Amino acid sequence: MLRKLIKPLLLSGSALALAMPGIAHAAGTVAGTTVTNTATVNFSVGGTAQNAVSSNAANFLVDRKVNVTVSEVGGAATTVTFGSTNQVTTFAVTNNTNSVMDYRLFAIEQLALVSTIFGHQDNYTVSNIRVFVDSNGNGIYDAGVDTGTFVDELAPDASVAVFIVADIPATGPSNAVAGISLTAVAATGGTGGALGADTIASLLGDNPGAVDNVFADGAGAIDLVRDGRFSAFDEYVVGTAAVTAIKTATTIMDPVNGSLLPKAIPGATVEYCIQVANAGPGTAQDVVVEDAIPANSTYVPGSLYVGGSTLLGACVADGSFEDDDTSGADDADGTTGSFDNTKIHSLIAAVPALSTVTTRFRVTVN
Amino acid sequence: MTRTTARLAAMFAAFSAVPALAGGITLDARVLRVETVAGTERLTPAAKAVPGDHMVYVLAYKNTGDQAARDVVLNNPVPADMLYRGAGDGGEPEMSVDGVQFGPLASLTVAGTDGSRRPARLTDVRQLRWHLNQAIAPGASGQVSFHAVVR
Repeated sequence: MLRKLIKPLLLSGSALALAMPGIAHAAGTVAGTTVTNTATVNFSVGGTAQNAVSSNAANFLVDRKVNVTVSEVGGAATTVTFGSTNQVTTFAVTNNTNSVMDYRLFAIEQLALVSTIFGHQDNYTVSNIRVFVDSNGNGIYDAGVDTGTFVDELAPDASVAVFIVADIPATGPSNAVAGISLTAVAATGGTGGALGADTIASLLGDNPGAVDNVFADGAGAIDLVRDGRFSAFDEYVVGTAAVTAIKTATTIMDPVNGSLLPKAIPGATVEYCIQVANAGPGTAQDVVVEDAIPANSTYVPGSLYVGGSTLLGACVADGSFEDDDTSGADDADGTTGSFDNTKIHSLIAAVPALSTVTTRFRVTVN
Repeated sequence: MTRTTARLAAMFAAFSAVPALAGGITLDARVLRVETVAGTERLTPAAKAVPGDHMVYVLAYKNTGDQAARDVVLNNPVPADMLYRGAGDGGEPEMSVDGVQFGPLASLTVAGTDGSRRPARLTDVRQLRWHLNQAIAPGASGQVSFHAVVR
């Protein structure tokens, strides 16, 4: 009899197993899901199997477990220069809540003398602080493109980059450091394009028919545990650039030996190379190299190359060709060069820390 | 869930051919949440349940008929969005990961991602079944329960 009973049960069991959604997020079952349970009992009376009896459905509603993290991206301070604008620190905001959420964002500067995330001491303040959300998922601040100021409709387990954008005052102390924090405050999701109201924890008894809010976030840089928000630090460091220049001369050819072991005799061609090295830590910007053509030599027209590299201390025959005048496409970009009949002039927009950029030109010996 | 209900209805239809005697068993299902207050656990009505919360399902049965019920089998799928964590009152149920093969956990396997089979874990269990050895006398009642966690 039992065997007979079990067979339909088994069939029903497999059907139930197949009907299971079984989709699990790290953030958990989506808030608002009703978890239902119905049991059945089979039995026999007087040796005769009876109709199976179902229980009532025991249900509960999954509430919202609000959990958010904010983390600094990059693991290093943003190195800036005095007077620069729209300098960016990057954070990641991750929605660990089991529902779609909005997040209200704000940035706060650290106070002076407070230790910063990368072990410095805050002694400086930046200005014009703004917060923008990465709109195209490239993790890089695109001015005019990343314009959203709050996190909109972030799915469970999803993460988005958020940028603090600030201007750096023109002057400040040496080794200027400005610590800054980003805080994300949980807000009600569900309406795209608009920031929902801040989420409020349901402190009173559970409302069985409604999705309650339970704060489950940790304590961030400047917020408390289970307060529906999370924060992290980043910092701006005003970098100084230690720029040095080296000039080398190489005889390329002479009229007697040609290019084989040339000597610097009259009529020989000599290449000068000026290496501008930046030992950091900041980026050297708008580096200008000017070099007068030596006496008893003549500039070779059209021989100026700017922005080249070095290999093992020697100049490499690369860089961007610059014609001798001061106009044209070659002078409209960040790397320009010209010759004014007495000296060459080059401008390099940026020499990053720990890099070397060259300016090369040739003369003939009179 | 609609499909499940339909299958259950089909199952009941299959049973309706069996002549029913007077009386029967009623089955009441409840779900409770395990709440830890000041280090002690207590059961409260399922409220404010969020992912990771520990719940207890209680199945209470009662023989409302005038004859003893025998061969009693309680059958409960582990609800969707829940992970089975072990038995409570009423002894260890038979378990199944596929609704076909029932037995103790050690006898069950599940297919791994590479096609090979591995021993089943508690979290793989999707179906529970209790065989009650004793007949239930008229008017007698009892309960079984199991623990599960919200995914």
